[in-house]
Amino acid sequence: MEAITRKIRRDDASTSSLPSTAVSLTDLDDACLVTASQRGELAAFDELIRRYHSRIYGTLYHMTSNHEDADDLTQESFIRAFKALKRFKGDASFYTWTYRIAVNLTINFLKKRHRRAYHLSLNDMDIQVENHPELVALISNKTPRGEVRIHELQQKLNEAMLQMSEKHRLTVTLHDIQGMSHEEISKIMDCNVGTVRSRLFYARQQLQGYLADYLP
Amino acid sequence: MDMKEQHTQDQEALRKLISLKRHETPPPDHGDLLASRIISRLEVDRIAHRDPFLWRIFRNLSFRPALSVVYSLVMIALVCLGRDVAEVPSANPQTFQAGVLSFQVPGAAWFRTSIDSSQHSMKLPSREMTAGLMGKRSRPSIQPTLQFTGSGLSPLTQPMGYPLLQP
Repeated sequence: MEAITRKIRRDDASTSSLPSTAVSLTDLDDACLVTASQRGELAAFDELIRRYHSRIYGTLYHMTSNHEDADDLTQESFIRAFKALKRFKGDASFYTWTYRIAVNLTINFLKKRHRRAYHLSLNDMDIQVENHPELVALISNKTPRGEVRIHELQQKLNEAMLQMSEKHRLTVTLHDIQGMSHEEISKIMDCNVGTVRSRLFYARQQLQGYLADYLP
Repeated sequence: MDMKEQHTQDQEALRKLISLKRHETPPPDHGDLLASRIISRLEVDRIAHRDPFLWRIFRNLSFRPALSVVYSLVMIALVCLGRDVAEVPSANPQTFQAGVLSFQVPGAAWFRTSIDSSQHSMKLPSREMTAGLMGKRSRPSIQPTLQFTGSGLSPLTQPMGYPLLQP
């Protein structure tokens, strides 16, 4: 069903200002898709969403620790990005530009929410995590009898993340979870690389303090 | 173990612990649903903020000068064609002549008598108007005498207010 929908959307796109039908939307680069989206082509913007929604959603989830909030914020971020697309000059990549919108939106949201109680489902964890060698070693090293379950650890980790300020949390999320470089983070957070390093250092110090019971 | 080595070990352990969050994944098919919802919201928003119909036409015309010129030429051609086809009574002397001839038939003579004696004054304008209207719409080839004998009706079906012609 989804494949059919995608095909129809691509057919729609092919009749518009996008390149010929022989070229699939997935083959186009971001710049071409952005240009088509600026003309109002929703099929092109749909392709951009599919390329980047998982990473943006992941970041927003780690910022909020709540799937519903992350879902709403991701939707709102892409909608705002589409509406502001005419002002996009191409100075940064579409990915960085959208990321910046999402991050600013999330920081404002978190300031309003201010440590609202969050819900974390145990099903949110990937099943493979139970067999993750590094985590198994870490837990076994700390608790040989296995009194600390992995989901409890996840719960504590999320609580520790929420204890940090939004900017420190965002830095840890982008670097240690999403695996971005300092330079990329500096572009997204609109600050210099030194600030990113400094925030990362203090954020890790804080996390070590909160999670001292779970570290060797 | 010096402080630096201890710090490195702590950082490594923390890094492993934080990597646990990489396994927190959204439900299956979440990505497709999310993209569909975003596109749906954009479509709804686009429909809700659509410009009025006339403004869209005007905008399209203004952005397509060639289309505007073609449209204007078509409209001018239609007006000229309509003017050429239309018949103006005052400009056609035969139509007027037809009206004059119609008064020479006996029925018309009776009506002229009625005008002079101020009788049936309410009926005369309708007869004259009928003749005038018929003259506007008709071609000169149509004989005006046919129009005037009982307003196109046979003598048996004439209205009661119109007396039959006596020879």
